Amino acid sequence: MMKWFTALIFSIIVHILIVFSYVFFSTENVENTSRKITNVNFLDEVFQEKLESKKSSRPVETMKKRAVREEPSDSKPKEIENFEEYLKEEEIQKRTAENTDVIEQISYKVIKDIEALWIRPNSTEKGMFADFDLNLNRLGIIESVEMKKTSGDKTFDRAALNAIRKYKQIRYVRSLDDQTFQKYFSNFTLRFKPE
Amino acid sequence: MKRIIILFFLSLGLKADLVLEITESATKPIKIAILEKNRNSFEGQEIINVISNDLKRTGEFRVFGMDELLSIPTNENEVIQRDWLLLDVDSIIFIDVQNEDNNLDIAYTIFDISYNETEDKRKVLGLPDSIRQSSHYVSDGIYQYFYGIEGISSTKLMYVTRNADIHKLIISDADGFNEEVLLKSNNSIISPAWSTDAKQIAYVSFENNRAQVFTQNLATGKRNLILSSKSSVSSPAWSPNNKDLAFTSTKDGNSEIYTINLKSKKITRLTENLAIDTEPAWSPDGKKIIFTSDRSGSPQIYEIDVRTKLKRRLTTVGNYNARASYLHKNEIIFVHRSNTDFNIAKLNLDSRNLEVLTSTKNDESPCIAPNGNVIIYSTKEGNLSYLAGINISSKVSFRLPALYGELKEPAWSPFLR
Repeated sequence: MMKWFTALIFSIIVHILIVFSYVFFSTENVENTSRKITNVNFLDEVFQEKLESKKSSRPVETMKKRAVREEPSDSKPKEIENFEEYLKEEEIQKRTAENTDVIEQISYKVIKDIEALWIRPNSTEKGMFADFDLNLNRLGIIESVEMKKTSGDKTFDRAALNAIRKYKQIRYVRSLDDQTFQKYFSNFTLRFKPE
Repeated sequence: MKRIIILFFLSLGLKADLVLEITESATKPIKIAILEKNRNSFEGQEIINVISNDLKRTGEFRVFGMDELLSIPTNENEVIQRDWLLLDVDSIIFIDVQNEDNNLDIAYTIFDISYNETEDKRKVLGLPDSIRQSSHYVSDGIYQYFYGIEGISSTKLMYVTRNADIHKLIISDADGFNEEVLLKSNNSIISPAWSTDAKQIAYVSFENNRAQVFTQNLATGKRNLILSSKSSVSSPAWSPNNKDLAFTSTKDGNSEIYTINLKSKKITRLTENLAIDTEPAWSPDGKKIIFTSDRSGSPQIYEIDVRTKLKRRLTTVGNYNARASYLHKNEIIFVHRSNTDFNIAKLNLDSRNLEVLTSTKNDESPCIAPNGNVIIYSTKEGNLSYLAGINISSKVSFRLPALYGELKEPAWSPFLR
């Protein structure tokens, strides 16, 4: 009887040991796995506060760049705010780029048109150029032309001025919004500089 | 390559200073109409014809005929701008023929259509029997107004003709009219050349059965024998100051370049080698001479400093380059063989850019107009040789009337005024 009782006790102890060891080792595995997957750097609160204050003192552009570079991990509200600013910046840049495209397109057309009208005199010498200041009304009609810089050659200046006079109206600027028109085309310079 | 630059100078981000740069120009001609002012005279029509032909020949003008016009104003006040804008005419030239003591003066105004006002008024004073020459002066004035350099309609051409065994040295207007025979001979006449003041000419004549270099005063007709040689003499070329002549001679055995001082008759030998050196031409400053030499095995253009006698080869492309002359200080023209054709070519001595200017096949003896914009040369089609020309800026080529079996060695006069 005593033998049976001793065997029971021993069996219980062994089972307890098995269960304990299973629980112990299985818990360790979970913790290790979680560390491997997340790879999170935990920062203490003081250090984090210092970093935030540093970030806020940087220029907007730097913040925008960091927002692009960094993973949105630790400070969610901050990241969302930067992203919105970034979108705003991007929208402005996009609009400016579109505007520049339109200005370049119109400029290209104006250059082509005037080149077709300009008959260069044979007295033209290397490096010679003349500048003319043009004032346009909102319909693109050339209201005034003023010579800002003479080429030094009367015939060259006259031929250039004749080309502008023949052009009379730059219709392309009608499609521009008022702000862009005022900024770029209400007054601009034409330079005649043969290659 | 066409390069267009658009420059944006942003100032303070508020107002953009836009600069558009125009680098290319149209190759189209200036469009004009020439009308007689207030009347319709026989002389007026003749003058208009001469001017129209002068300007058309440049290739840089489109002259409207009377039948193309929508309205014919007799003076500036009658110009209906709309009619002329429809035709895309740039200017109207009003000619006013004024008969003063049997001398026809020609007053002319340039009426600009886009300005709708008279832009320029000029007058050419006539001489007896000079209606064509006066008209040429008007043409040159109009050309200069629009293109900024002097026109060449009032200049002269000199050339040699041969019919059977009769050789003639002839001077004519630049359009081939008004021929005047300076010398007629049963023997060859070669290498006519103008002095730079257009008062004298030089040429080589074989009238005494030997090569003789003569100079001739055009006003008096007086001839001076400069050089007489039993050996070959050719290609006299006036120095820019008209004090020396450069020439080619075989007097020392083979063809070399020499200069002779017209006053002292002192001869200086510039080249000395076993190769053929020939066809000298002075640089505009008179410090250098270019010539043709076969010292490298094929005819090429060389340049020699008259004082130091230092030489350099100028042409490297092609195996035939000859008969060169300076277009400008840094540009020369010459006969260049490309494949089997002989063409007139231009070489920039700085950029080394070689440009073949003509499309005819047997071109020779190029000479440059005094404004540096037209080249005239003799060329052949079958047995007929004639004078052809090309306008450098407009690239328009033309030919002069061929009246002779053989017409060669053209020489263009300097400006006569």
